[in-house]
Amino acid sequence: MTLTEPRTSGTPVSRTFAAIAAVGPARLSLIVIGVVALFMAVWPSLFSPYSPSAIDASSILLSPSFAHPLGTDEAGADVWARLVYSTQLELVIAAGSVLVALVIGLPTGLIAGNAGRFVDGAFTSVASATLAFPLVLFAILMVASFGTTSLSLTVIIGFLFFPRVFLLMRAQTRSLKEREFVTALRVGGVRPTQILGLHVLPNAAGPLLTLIPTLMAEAILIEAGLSYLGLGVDLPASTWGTILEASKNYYVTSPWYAISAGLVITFVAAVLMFAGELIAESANPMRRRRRS
Amino acid sequence: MKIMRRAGIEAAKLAVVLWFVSVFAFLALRLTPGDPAVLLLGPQAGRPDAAETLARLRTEMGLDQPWPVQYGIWLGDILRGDFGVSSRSGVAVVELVAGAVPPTLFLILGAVLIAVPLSIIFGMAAAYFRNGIVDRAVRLVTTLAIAIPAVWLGLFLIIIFSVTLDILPSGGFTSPFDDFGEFFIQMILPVTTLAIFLGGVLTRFVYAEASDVLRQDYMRTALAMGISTPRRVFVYAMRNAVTPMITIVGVQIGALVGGAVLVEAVFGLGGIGQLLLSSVLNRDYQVVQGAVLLTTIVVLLVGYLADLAYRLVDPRITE
Repeated sequence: MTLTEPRTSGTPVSRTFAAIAAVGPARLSLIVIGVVALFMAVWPSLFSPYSPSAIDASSILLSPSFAHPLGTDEAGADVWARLVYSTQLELVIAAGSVLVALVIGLPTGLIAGNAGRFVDGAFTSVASATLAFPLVLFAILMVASFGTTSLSLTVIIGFLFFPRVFLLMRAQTRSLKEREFVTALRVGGVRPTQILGLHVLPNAAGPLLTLIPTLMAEAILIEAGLSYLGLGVDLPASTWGTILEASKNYYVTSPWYAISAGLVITFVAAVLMFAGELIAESANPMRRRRRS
Repeated sequence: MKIMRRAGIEAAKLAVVLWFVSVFAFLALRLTPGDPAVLLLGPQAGRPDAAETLARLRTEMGLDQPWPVQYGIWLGDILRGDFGVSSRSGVAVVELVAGAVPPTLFLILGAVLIAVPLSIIFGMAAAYFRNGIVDRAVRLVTTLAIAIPAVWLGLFLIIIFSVTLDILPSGGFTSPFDDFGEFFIQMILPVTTLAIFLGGVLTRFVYAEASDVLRQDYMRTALAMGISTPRRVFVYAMRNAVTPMITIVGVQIGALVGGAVLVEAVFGLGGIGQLLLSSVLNRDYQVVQGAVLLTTIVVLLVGYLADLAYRLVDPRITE
């Protein structure tokens, strides 16, 4: 049962405005940015008239102009178009790696948080071993060994993230299973799998939700770092990271090329991190700030 | 005595983790395509009469043995302190790693030296003026510091300070023992790049800790006793807010090594990351295994010591 305020006054339009105002400017702008990003990923042609793979010898490494707001790259393609058309793969890698982390981390965390010392100890050691090892070195080793396809990048970054999901889930399970409602369910004869799946998991979802955007931001940053080392996705596929990697050879003559690729990554990563913070604040009233 | 027992348990855990890493480093390259003998021989490996040479090379490198035997030999050698030699250059792995450590190490040390004091000041200030303009500014800047890709920040600083203003070098590494002035100038941009990332992480941490500490009863008591604000914040609160930072630096050391690997690639410092990258691409098994294991040992050891130091500094922690 949820409590709702009675809404009887005002026209539908004014109520809509009131609802939007209640969301707050911070949330609203995040939602707008998110929707725009999704549109870019699905219909990139709406955002740029140019082809990202155009080869035009007459317009190589042009400075920003009205025709090309971010200039052109070493093949003569519009940089803005390349960034827009890379959004899809970038988001797929970021969301995919978080999905991989959840698929590994959720069940193992639930099991470890609920199991005896031996199983718990074994799972936790694997997770802390993965966590202890420098992420980027690990990724260099794995990507260089398993190849630079978007699938292998996604799986490897996801694997690197799984301990974070695992440790959170394990801690949540351990604290939740001591709560009275779980004891009550157990006494009531509900099967342990049902308690875990239907009662413990939904209650642990809040902290997990804050982790998801943060991990997506980190996935984008790691992808950029790996791409810079030459371990990004293979051509003709392209991500913001591989665009940044390509631009590094021209930073002396065409600084805007490198700058725009990095700005997009920074902006999106920062937005995702803010989103994580906002979710954390609304999930935990203790962390909520006073409205000013 | 409790701390001794604790130290023993932690050391045992450390050994298990190291064993995992050794198995992983051993298998990662062997499970994937790429024959080191073929790569070593280069274009000649394609010649029809190369089969005999390749077989001889594989025997020399011990690659004709089954994996478990290879692993056993490698582990046995390591336990005796022998990390093997590079199959490409014939140089001892320990020597190669030792040569690659200084740039990475100085980079990390420099970043820690700059980021730790700055993050304490900004984190404490933001927590004290909670919800004020300082707080908002610090939160915005730290989020940006973490969201900026380190490689791009490095590139950006090069564009500004090396290309446009032409006042700082865009890369290279000189040993501080050969020419300290040159070393110092070359390290300014790389250290700044890494310090910005680390500073962002640490400031957020100090901020969270300080926010809790400032709300504690003893802080109110100190206020009632008429103790001055700077003394309350920077002496009484800081001690409790900053002590857990030892653990955070310990935990973050892995991320820090990762960041250093990227930064050193931008500035061409030739550190541990570039050694690893080139040896992975050359399938230089011994160097990859040795470098991965040695780096992990250092990272884990730092984390372990940080944990131990924290327990010694803060007597409240017994478990």
